[in-house]
Amino acid sequence: MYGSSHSRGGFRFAFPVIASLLILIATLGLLSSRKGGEDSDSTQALKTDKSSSRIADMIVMPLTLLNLPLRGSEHALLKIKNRSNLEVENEALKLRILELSDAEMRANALAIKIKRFEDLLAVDIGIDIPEKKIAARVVTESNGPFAHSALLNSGANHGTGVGHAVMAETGLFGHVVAVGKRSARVLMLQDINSRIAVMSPRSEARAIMIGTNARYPKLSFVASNADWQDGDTVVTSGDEGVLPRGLAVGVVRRRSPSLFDVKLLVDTESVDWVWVLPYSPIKAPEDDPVVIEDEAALVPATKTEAKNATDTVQVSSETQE
Amino acid sequence: MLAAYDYIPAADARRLAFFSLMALLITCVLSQLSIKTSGRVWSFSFVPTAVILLWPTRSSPLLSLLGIFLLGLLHDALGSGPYGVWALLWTSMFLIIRPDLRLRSRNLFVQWGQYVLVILAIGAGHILIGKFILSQAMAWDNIVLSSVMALAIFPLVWIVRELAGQSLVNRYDNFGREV
Repeated sequence: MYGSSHSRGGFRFAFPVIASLLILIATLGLLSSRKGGEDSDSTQALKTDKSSSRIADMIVMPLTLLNLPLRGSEHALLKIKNRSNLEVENEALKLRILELSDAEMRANALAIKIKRFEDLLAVDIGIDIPEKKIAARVVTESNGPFAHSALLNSGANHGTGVGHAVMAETGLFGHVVAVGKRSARVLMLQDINSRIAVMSPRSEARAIMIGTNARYPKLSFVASNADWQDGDTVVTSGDEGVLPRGLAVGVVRRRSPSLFDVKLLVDTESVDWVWVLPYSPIKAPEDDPVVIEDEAALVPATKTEAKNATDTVQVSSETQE
Repeated sequence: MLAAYDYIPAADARRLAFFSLMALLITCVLSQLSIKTSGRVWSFSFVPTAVILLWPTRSSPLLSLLGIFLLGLLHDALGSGPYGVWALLWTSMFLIIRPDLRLRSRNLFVQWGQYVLVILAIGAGHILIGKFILSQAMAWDNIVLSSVMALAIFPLVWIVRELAGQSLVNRYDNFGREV
């Protein structure tokens, strides 16, 4: 039998107590994930701890295999859909190639011009977008009500690191927030925790693009004199020092005179393969201290020397007076 | 209500709970998959609730409750969402529609009807958690799409559960009652 009458009495008492305790634990866990506000810097709602990374490492292989038929059927559907307007698309692509060959010629001319200025000024500006890219497969896309993230099958073993930008074919997909040995968690641009410094290449207007957990992120911290217009291209500005400048993000949609949101370039695409850009941002001085071999030469050796140095400063200030 | 549990052999009750928890674990992992068409993501994240609805009547309640809570936390970890959403919703759901309290009919359409109510309650639970506990904006369209996907998948889960019930577990207990 399930138990004696004594233990049944204990069960009757223990079951509701344990149930209440579990509900309390879950509620407390949720309250600890609570955000301060929509514009808060808190990123607690998205879990990026070590245990999550370990779990992700364990499931990444089976999910990659299970995902193959789903992605395959998505691509097959897309092919069937595209086949109907193949001719129109071909014409549009030919036109686009003509436009781009003109743009390429101008870009080459500008590159030569910039190089000449750099030589004159003895500086090397370069571009932030790294040449090296790491190919990765999107294993899952978690588009839950509270979090928008994706799992990649590329981790620390492949060179992927926290903060690296993740690009889809059409534009920026997100950035890496947690890394395991064989997997990485990407915070997608739609997630409420996502904050990206962006700019308009046309007017150089700056803003912060904030995820809203909805389809279209919004532009915040827009200066009153900033020139944002409907249809403007949005690229990363690199001002936050995490992502390289110039990555394509989306197109501006004006909701009202002062409200803008962004239609992402990866919005409608089924993302299968992505590029991880291993970009190393400029470190803060305190994080990147200079190692001086002969420190003794820079500091006064004795108290007398220190006093003499102070006296010299005082004398020179008196002379100035 | 608890009397139903009193006459089931403990080993059988634990075995039933174990099989059910394994099924919940598998659906938890599978529910991480999603389909994206025309910018809409059809997520399977609500599908594991079907396993809880079809939980065996005479499985060990305490083991089931603890297992459901822990797998709820795992589901949160896999989806990278805030800790506790699924643990809270599944634990509450198990307590409200306890297997011994739900409708006894094994008919697909009756259970599908029950599942519609469960999905509505889970959706409402998400909205309440988002509004009153997490105080953050949420993706309404994702709740709707996940709900539609879960309702569409339910017959498949029901068939698998019926087959598993017939092959893995004794359908009748020592007293000849249906499990």
